[in-house]
Amino acid sequence: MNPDLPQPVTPQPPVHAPAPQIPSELAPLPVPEIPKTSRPNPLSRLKSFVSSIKIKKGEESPVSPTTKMSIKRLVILLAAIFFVIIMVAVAFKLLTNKSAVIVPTPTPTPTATPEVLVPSAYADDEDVLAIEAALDYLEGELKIVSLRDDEIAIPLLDWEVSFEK
Amino acid sequence: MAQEDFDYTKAYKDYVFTQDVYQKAHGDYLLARSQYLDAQTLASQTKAQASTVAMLRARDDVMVTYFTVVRMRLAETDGISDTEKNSLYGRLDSEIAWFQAHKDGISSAASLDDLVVDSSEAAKRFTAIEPLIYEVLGTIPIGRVETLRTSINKILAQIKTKIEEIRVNGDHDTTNAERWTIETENKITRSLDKSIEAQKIIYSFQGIEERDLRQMDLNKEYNGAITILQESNQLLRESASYMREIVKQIKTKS
Repeated sequence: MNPDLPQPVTPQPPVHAPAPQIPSELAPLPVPEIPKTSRPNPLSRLKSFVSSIKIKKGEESPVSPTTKMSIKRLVILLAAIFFVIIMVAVAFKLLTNKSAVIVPTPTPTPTATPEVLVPSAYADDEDVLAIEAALDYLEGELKIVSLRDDEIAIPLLDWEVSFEK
Repeated sequence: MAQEDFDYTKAYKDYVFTQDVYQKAHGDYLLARSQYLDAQTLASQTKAQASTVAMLRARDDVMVTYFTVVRMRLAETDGISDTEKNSLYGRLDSEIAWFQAHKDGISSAASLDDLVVDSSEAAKRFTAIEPLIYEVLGTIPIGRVETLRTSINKILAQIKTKIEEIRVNGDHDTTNAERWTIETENKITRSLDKSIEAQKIIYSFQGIEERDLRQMDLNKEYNGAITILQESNQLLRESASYMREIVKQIKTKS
């Protein structure tokens, strides 16, 4: 053999393992032949995956344990993401509500407006002024009146005189 | 002239003076009694007799001046009828005379047993006249409240006259003032009711039998009457504030 001449290509082992044996009961779907040298098409992989899970009840899943693990992880991941979303939503709701609490603002306190008294025709009436003066005196008397004369309370004296031991 | 100058202030000074004398005499009596009871000697007995005589006389003096000061307080209080005053004066004067006579009857030569009897007589008399003292002490504030109520009624009458005059003139609305007048009258009436209630308690002290006195707490009854009179006075104060409001309404345009 001449080493300069191109050598015949020796058959290479397949890049991918052969497709698993599908049980005879399942209708074998035509699996498109994947070129041995190129990467598998994602669409074809999905189709393969879907076809693999289309199994009858009570039958052993044809899905490999690795795929099962992947599904499990995916489900857990999705559940975790869903949980996180719910929590974020709840937290957001709470924060929104908190911020919605009405901040007490100082209520306006009514300030006593001075009563405007318009004097009547009797404001300077002699009789009315005399009554007012009498009332002033009387109110003073009512305040100071003493109804209990403590200084003339009954004296405390010793009425028990005896010379017996 | 001397009788005219004599007033409550002077009577009170006399009373305070006799109380001081009594306190000293009572201290001497307690000491002499103690020494006599310990020693039982003739000297300690003589000293005990002398100090007891001094104490009993001083005690009677306190009673005489006490009745005098109460009498003067009664005399200077308005709002009590002359009939009532004269009745109380007569009973007080009778007690003054009794204690004065009792004092004069205490002999310096009396034995210790005689002095004990003298003391017992005065003690018995004092117990019997306690209702009279509380009656006078209760009548005085009743008179004071009555005087204030009379003044209020007088002012209210003036106010009513003025309101009537204004109403006839027709230049000022008197509706509110008239309403306040009715409220004032109600307060005065309630005050009068309270005074009558207190008066009943005070008058019940008259003629209390000795056996009833033992069961009756006179001081408690008297304090109860004073509390009722204070309520009566409070109602008068409220009526005065109502009248103030009436005057305000008259003086301002509605």
